[in-house]
Amino acid sequence: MRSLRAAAAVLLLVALSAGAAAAQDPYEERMWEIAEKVACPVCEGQSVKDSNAQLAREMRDLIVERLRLGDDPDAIIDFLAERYGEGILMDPPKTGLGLGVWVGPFVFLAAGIGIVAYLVTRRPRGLSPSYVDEGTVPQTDERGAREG
Amino acid sequence: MLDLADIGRIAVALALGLAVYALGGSLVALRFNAPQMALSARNATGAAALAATIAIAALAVAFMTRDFSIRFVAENSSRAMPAGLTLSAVWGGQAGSLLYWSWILAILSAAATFRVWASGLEHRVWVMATLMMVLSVFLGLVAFATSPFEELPAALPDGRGLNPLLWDSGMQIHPPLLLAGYVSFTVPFAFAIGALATGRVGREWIRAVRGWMLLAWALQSAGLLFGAWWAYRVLGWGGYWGWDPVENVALIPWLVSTAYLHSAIVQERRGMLKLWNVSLAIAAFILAILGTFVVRSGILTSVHSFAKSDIGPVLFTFLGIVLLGSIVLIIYRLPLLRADRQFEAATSREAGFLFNNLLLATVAAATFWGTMFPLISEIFRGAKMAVGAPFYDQVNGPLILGLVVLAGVGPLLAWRSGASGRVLRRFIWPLATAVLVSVLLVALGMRTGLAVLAFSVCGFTAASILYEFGRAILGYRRSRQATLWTATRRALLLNRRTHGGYVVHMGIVLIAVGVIGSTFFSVEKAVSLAPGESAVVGGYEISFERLVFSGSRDLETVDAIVHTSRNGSTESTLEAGRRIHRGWESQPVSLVGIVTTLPRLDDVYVLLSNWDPETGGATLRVIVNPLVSVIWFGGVVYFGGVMVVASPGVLRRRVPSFGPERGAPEPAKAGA
Repeated sequence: MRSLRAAAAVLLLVALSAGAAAAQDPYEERMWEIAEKVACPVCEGQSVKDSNAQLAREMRDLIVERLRLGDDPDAIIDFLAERYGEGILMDPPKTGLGLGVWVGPFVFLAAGIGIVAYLVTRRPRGLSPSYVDEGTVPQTDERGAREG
Repeated sequence: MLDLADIGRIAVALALGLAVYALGGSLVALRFNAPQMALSARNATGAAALAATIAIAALAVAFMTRDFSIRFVAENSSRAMPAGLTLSAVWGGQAGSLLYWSWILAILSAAATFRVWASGLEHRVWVMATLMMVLSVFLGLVAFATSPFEELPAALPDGRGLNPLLWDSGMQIHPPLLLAGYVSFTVPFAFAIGALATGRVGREWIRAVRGWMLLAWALQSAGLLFGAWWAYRVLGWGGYWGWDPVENVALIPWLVSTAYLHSAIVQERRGMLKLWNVSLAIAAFILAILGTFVVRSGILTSVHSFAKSDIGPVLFTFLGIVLLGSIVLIIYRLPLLRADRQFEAATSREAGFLFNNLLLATVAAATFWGTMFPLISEIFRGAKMAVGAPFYDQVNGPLILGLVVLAGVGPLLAWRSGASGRVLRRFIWPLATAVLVSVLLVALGMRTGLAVLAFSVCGFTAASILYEFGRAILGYRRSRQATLWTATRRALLLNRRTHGGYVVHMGIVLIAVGVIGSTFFSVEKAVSLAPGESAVVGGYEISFERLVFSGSRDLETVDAIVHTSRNGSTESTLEAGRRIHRGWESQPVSLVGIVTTLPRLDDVYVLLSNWDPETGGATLRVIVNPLVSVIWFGGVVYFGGVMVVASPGVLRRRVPSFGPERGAPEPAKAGA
């Protein structure tokens, strides 16, 4: 039971502040929204919202505290980014190098659309005979199924 | 006297020797046209599989007999662990999972080699050589870089044990499935290389590889679904998918192989997309290796830890060679990879497959880009930039919804010709369903526009699939005068590739419904309650009864007994707790309390955040997750479809395996 008590004692300290904060509903709801946008610095890929780590809990309390002081969400995120580094932003900034991550997929998609559009619109050079037409669909499928 | 570590090491060395022999033998056979040599190499692949089996068996026995003189056993198991869990510790660390990986590869390689041998396919020696090359690299890593059979100077009295987070039955299913999925992509890769090397890039390799690709894809699907289920039930953060690097790299090969399974149909039927199919089979393999090892080797945590990893540089070099070699081969064979014919209409079925592939490839590329981006930013800026769920939700979300639309549109389109009046008429019922769904949802009070749109898309696709089934069943019934039941069974089984595929699509639609519901309408709240108090979260009354403490020598638990009800209706009781394992005090494991409510299909998900042993009070994190259970149901439907697609044909006609392509279509005879 000793380790359980030790863990409980630690958790109690957190619970005292977290518990008090949890009663304040308007702050808490906004806190979860902010916590979702911030990565927990000690976890792999989890947000402060989802993480059960000690540091994430402290950060949640910190967010509530700042909210109660009247800070707006963006200011709190900036404050956290300054304190823990830009790396904690779940959403990469849409400026500078961070813009690259947002642009990348669209460049890929645009190139892909270009290729597909070229393939489906280019004129066939004379109609080639087709050896499969709609009537033979099931048979082709069955033959292929043998491999499965 | 040989101990288990010796047996393991010898077996690994033997397997490696045999794999290298088979590789050398294949190359000699190809160079000097020596069929006897090829036959000997083929037999060696079987022997290598046997030796690898002995090696993994030795490790398993070492775990079961608690042989703590072996470092890997001592680090990953302890006497406190039950037998089933101890066995799953075989893949609980890098060295063991690498051996497991090599073992599966050895078995698959032998199976694929013997099977392709029997088919008499021309490129069989190339397939064998490629498989043995990959196997040699991985067995070499097991033998020389990271052996699970390394011995400690003296046996320890007890091991350190597995991280308690892994003390779950999910651990016995999820990692071996996913690892096996990753490995299986080696076989399609080998067939692609064989096709390129022999220049026979037509339909025969596509047909021969289909079952293997289906196997890899199904294993990967199962690994992903079990992973999501495990994360949700056990890891206790309230979700099932978090777009973290380990999940992403598992998803990418699934996306690529899904693209392949669709585009291969176009090559099989229309002789197009040859270059694309070969590339997809190769890409799936490279991305799978990247997934298994680059993530585990710590490269994504930091570029600096990558250098410290034993296997990182070797694998990176290997992947580089594979990539370069494949590109060179493809360029060499470019003249043969030209399409037999061209697209005739932008709204034909084959064009639909092309759009499907475009979207799948874009999701794969975006996921890859986002996963690798922290690394790129570290190289250019010295600081890692996190790329989290919001990025993937915003970029992949619409693309995936587009794929669901295509799953509804595609089956309605005709091959070759564009959308005619006949084709357009098929859209009436699905479109009507979509409109009906959106009107109903708005009438019921749903005001989130995106969610209404997404649900309507699901309605469209579900209706389209059911419509297609209906057409097939009625068509059969009319032509054969069969009963409705017979017609349904026959329609499903006669064209099982297509219709099994539609069942898989239906599973995907159900999964999408669950994801949409839980993404848009999840409600979360932390509440601090004294015994007997209650709070309301998302319309549910959560009343906390009391805390229950219990403990044994190795484990201490605390459970909160919680009752939930809605509008005073029937009450459910659940337990949310924490388990604290001896030696792992800093990592208490959550025991998630989940109840699925009927008829609303909400999951009430309760986590115990904090507790106070003095007052008996507790802080609970309560999440109301709508429709998550539909995801798991969709998974079951998905695998039902996979079974139909993969089942051997009961009603199959006898056809030669690589028979004439333009055989006269005969109606299938029952029971033939």
